[in-house]
Amino acid sequence: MKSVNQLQRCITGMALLILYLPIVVIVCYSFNAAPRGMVWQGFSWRWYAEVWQNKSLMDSVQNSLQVCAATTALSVVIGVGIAFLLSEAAGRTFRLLAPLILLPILTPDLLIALTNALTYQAIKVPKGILTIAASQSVVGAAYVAIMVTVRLRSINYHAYVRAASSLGASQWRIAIDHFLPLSTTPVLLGGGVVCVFSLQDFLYAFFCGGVGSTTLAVHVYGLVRFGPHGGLNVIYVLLFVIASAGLWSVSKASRRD
Amino acid sequence: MWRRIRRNWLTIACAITWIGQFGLLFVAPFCLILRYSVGVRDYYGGIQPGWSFDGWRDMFSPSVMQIALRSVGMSLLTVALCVLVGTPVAVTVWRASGRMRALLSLALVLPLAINGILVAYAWQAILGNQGWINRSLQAVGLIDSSVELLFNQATVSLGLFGAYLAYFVLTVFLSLERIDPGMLTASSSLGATSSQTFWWVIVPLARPGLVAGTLLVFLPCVGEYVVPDLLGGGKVFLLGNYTKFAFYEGRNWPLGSALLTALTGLLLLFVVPAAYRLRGAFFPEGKR
Repeated sequence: MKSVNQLQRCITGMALLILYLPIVVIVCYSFNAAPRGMVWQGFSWRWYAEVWQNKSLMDSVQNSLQVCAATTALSVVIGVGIAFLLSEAAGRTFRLLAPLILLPILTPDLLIALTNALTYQAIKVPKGILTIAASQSVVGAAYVAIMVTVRLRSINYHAYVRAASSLGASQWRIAIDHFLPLSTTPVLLGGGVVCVFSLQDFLYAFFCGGVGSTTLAVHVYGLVRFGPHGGLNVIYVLLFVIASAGLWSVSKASRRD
Repeated sequence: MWRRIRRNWLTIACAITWIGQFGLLFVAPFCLILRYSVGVRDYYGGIQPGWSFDGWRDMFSPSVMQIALRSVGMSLLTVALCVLVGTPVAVTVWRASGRMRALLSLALVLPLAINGILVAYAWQAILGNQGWINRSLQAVGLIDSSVELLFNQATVSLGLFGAYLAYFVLTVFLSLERIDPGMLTASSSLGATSSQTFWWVIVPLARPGLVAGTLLVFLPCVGEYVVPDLLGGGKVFLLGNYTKFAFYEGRNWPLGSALLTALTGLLLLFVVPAAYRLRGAFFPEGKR
């Protein structure tokens, strides 16, 4: 009994080591005094002060935040709609529809991003922040819909619907009084996941973006070839801290639920 | 089948947004590349009117087939790593209680918040010729000149493993959570050792999650772009970065489209039946 658990604990530790080693490196080099590249030239706070003056970097952060806001809004609206539709479906209808929302998540991102980019070109839609958000929300809506559906099915939502409708509630009443309150937590969780997905995404931003919509990830990609400066590390360290705090509070809220 | 969903303007509005998004941004683009794959190559990048099967002929050339095989091999290796490491990790998270469980699952998800490009770059700093490993080995005196650790298939699999482990663990965790704790009590009170319980009770009950996790790693891996591009140093071509190469640097749209179509075809072949069978791994069967 003991030895298996030791082995499992060992493997978990190693897995976490592999996941966190690069992050430790990123944090360390955010204190690097070197103008660029990952060669250590002494400890300094310079990047934490200078990063805010870097206009192209700040522009890309702003673009990323705009994309993130648009993607999250679109994903939540469409995803909740899909989940509502699925919550109304039952039996065979559900079994036919449910796999469809898994499809965008199982499809490699590159496939969706590249084919969408070609489509935007073919129908001559100017590529920019909105096209990135539209393409990202295909995956984002699926995340939200899955989280809400999983939650509703695990609390036996259909019993609520049956009870409410046999007491004469309209579909509207059911949606407002039961569907929305019960799906608040998974919507928040799903929204958080979509935010993180959108902020770190490179493929959609790279293929579906245009000249003025360079996001942080695309900006980083452009710099990596020539040795990025410590400012990038600073931005990601801050993002990481914000994401940890956000996810921790959401997961705390969902545990209380 | 629609008869079972009550139709009024609320459900119709939901259906229209879903069908609109799915059709416009998921189905239509695949129809477009299907057409492009039998188009005539424009050497300045693009498609000229007309029909030809050059893209498909290029795709079945030995060099592209070699890339495809390598992609599948690499993805299988990543899946194997994820199964071997991810399953014990998922069980550990599942066995942990309360605060520890929340902390562990958060620790697994958080690295996804950092962009894969910067993570790949950090790996370069660790494994590169002037990197941490080489320099510490030199300092100890084990090696004289730096060892080439970067830009090979092993580093690409390492990067892929780091990028996909969390997805696998969380999927397995989802189906572990649905195991009735009574099953474990029953197993041990009937005299099973913990490894017998693991192999004969936990693994069979978690099978939907294991299969779902395997697919969730394998399929995106085949189309992965960032990791092979940065950790392979442009030397390791996988289907993902080769497709991008065909469209952008190679200016061979029919070939790129044929590759995308083939990938989509594989997807339809594997994913659709899998998604139908696997929905149980994601959606609990609601009691009716």
